Amino acid sequence: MEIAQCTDQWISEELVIKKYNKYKNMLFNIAYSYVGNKHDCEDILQEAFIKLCYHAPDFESEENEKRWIIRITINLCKNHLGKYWNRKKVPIEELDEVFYQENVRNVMSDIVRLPMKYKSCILLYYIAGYKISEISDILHISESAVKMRLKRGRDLLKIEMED
Amino acid sequence: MKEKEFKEILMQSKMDNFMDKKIMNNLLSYNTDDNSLEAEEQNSYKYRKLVKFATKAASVVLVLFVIGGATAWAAGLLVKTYPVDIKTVTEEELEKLHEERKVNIDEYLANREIKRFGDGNKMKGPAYDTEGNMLKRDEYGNLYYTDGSIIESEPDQWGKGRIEKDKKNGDEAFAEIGLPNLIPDYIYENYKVAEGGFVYSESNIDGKPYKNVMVSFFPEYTSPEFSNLTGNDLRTLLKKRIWFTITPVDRPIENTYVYLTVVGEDSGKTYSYTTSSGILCNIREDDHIIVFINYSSEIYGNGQIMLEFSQYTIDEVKAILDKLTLIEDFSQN
Repeated sequence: MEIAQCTDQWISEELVIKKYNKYKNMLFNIAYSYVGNKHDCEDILQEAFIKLCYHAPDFESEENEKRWIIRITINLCKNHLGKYWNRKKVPIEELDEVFYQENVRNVMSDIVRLPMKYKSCILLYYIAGYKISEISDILHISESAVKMRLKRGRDLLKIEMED
Repeated sequence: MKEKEFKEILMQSKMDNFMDKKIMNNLLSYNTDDNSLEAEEQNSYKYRKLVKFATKAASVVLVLFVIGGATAWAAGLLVKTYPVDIKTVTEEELEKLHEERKVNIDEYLANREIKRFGDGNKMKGPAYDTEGNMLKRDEYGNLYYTDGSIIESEPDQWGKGRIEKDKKNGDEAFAEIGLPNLIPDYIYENYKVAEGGFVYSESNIDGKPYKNVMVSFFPEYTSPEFSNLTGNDLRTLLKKRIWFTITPVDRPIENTYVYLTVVGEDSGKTYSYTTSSGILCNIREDDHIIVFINYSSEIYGNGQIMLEFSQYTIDEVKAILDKLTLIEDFSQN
């Protein structure tokens, strides 16, 4: 765990805006990929940013902060899906309202349908920009498991690797 | 699809402006006050959208004008409580009233002397681990990992003595205005005095001394009353604030009125409520709830208690008002 010290309750508006703008699109893509609908995604991002801005520990580095907020977001998504999985299926038709460009809509639709274990690796690799060794660290799985999941995820998404 | 193309498409995927603005606005309005009385006095009230006092002094000065009317006895108590007529005006109308009555607010504020009792407490909110679990916090403010190991985080030297410390500071502040501590034990046990402590202020209006005690409280989320709250309920709790202003008055207090300035459309309600112990409360309910209690005691004289609640429902306010016990021997509180 990365907690070192609880932060103060007070935070400047400027810092809230800075943190929010820094992570908003990355976390939106991660959250949407998990929950697959706009409203739940909004609730999860709201909760994640409140934790980051008002209840997070002091971080030793920006990298630690980034990892922490990604973990928080993924955990919130998983908790949400765990709670509602049986009665809330991913409404793919909503994608039209969220992603106006067809190519983006198609890609997000494929990611939303990916099995959870491949999804985490694909998101951390392509959206958060982590290396295989870093993903292994974050997800607490071996590097070979990360490589395997990335390969299977790519196969399902029909992504061709380039030399 | 080529990997490069896949990455480029992902880069184009962004949240829409509506969601972006909504999350940002909610984030900025989330619990950003620093709980200090100074900030409260200078900035008015962050959570109050429609109703506010022009100044603290304005409300107090104008409450002293007697307009005549009925008197209500607090049933079974030796203290009388009286109705207060709550009127709403615009800021311009209030300024005009001040001019007509030659009330010099600037002079009052310039001559005001302030004495603080205690520093109050720093708010320590919940913290979470990387799994999103709330970390346990003990009475000293220390945090603990889920495995039980401690995280040092500015421990509170008072620890369990915090309640006694707050009460003692309250006793001393109330003594300045010749009263016993009027804050109910329920508040001390479940809320903490906010930073700034108890504030006694003294000045003159028309050559007559004017004194009061102000204090604000925030809920202590680890107290038995609130420790079961989670999620949205916990977030709402952390935004709640209560302000007490107690003003002794050396003239008749029966049937007075008070002016509140209204910003924008006046959508508030005004009514009275009698607590389970028989105290007559005069309530102004908007998204911010203000309660006036005018009392008269043979031992302690006359005065007004003003309570302000931010982020409370009226039912929650009434439950707290029911805990007030203004009996003749206030010391039994």
